[in-house]
Amino acid sequence: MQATGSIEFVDVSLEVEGRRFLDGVNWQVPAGQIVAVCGAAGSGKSFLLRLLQGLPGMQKEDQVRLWGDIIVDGESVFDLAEGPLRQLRRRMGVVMREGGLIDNMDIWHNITLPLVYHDGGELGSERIEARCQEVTARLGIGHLLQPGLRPVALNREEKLLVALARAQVVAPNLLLADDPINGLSEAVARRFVSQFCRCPAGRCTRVIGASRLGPLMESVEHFLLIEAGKVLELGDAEAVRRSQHPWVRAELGCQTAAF
Amino acid sequence: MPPWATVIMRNFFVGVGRHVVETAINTWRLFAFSVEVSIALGSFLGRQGFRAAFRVTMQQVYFTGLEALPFLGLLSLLLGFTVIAQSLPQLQGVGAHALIGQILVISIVRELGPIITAMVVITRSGTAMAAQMATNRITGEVEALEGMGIDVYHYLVVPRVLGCMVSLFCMIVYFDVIALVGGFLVASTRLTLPFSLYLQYIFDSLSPLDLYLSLSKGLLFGGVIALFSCYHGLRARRAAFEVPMVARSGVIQSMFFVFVSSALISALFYWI
Repeated sequence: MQATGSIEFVDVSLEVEGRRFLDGVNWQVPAGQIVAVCGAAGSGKSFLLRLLQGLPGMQKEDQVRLWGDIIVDGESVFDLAEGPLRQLRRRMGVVMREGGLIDNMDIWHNITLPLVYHDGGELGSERIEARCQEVTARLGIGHLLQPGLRPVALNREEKLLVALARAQVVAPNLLLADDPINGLSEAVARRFVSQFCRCPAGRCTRVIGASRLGPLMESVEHFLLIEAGKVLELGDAEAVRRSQHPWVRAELGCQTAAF
Repeated sequence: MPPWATVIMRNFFVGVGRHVVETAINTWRLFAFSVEVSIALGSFLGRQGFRAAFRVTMQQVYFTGLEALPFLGLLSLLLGFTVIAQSLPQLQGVGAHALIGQILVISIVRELGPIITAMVVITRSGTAMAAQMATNRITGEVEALEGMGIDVYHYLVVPRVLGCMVSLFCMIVYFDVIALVGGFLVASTRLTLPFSLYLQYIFDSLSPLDLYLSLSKGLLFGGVIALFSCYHGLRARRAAFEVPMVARSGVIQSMFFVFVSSALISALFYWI
């Protein structure tokens, strides 16, 4: 099947440890679209993004109840066995809230890890190096590739850009970011969102979760709002500006406030 | 029976029952974890992921084995020295100094070498591994790895298990050799014993079974220490306060396993 990065949520509900985060979510994203999933902290944005990857990091002890179906690239995520699910995840790039970098590895190894791990010999060291150089140069973090430099020496913006480089280096069909701009200043957040939305692969689908609207308005094509487990379609940036929803009004009213 | 006694009895049996159920559940989880690790171990040499996982294995050998050598060397030298310093006067008293070979082989090669080396690995690397796994889980590194389609068992656990097995195996050889040198230092000062004769005493007492069991213990203890440490570390969920708790659980279980299995092996091969 041709991989495209399309997403479809079919009546999805999610309950974790007795708390319902999503309630009958129906949502469809065509391939190549740039989507923002907005909402207040704790509204379920992170779970929505993690569901697209088949809930990585969850343990058997976590009491998770799930209904409905999620279809990514034509494959039902929750019907996949462990091996095919890993194959699906390989085609995704993820930027976690704090970057999710491996602290005991230098920046070079962090960025190239997914390529090195999944390389069965087709790529080889030279092409991996070239790919890494290309992505880091585009993101303006080439200077961070010095040997021995670890994530602990980076500020938050640099960590997020390194995480973005690690996500982009695999040329993903689907690029996800889980509320990376939370806590960033307006200017830095805007810069990051613009880098995130500039997908080198051309047609990759990009989904960014965010608890702020301001920095997204210039770069994102389509907005959704999560509230009380339901997903509300807000439309494009113009429709968001016209929206009368109280959370949206409050967000746009204070969008210039920097942290 | 008075009502208060009934309450105490009931609470006692409820407590015991709960403990038994929790132990059974934990044992089952550990078994399931071991099966997952075994499956990942089977695919370790597969082309995909091998390069990255091999790098982690080498790092583990460096941290567990190479970095511990100076401390382990001092420990083994002093132990060999002490064992002979304590037993030689007694042996000389009955004119049985030729038995120093047997004493060293029985005490150091068969028992103390593997146990003390395992203790060093548990306290240095077992705690570090459990704490690191727990931190990886809490800071989202495990989630990030899984999100990249990386098999956590293959990339995080198997390299540590293999690294610990290789390290402990080599460390036991190193421990035994240094302890025997320590023993010679005492023996040569008290008995003016030539090194060749000292070696002859040792080799006369050393059977292939001693070597085989001692080194097999290295592989077994190394694998189990890493397995228990990773298991407890990865069971941490969201809070930083869990890090010392899982490290402690890993240490206690590893120590328990090392002492019990060592006693069982001795009973099985040397006593029954």
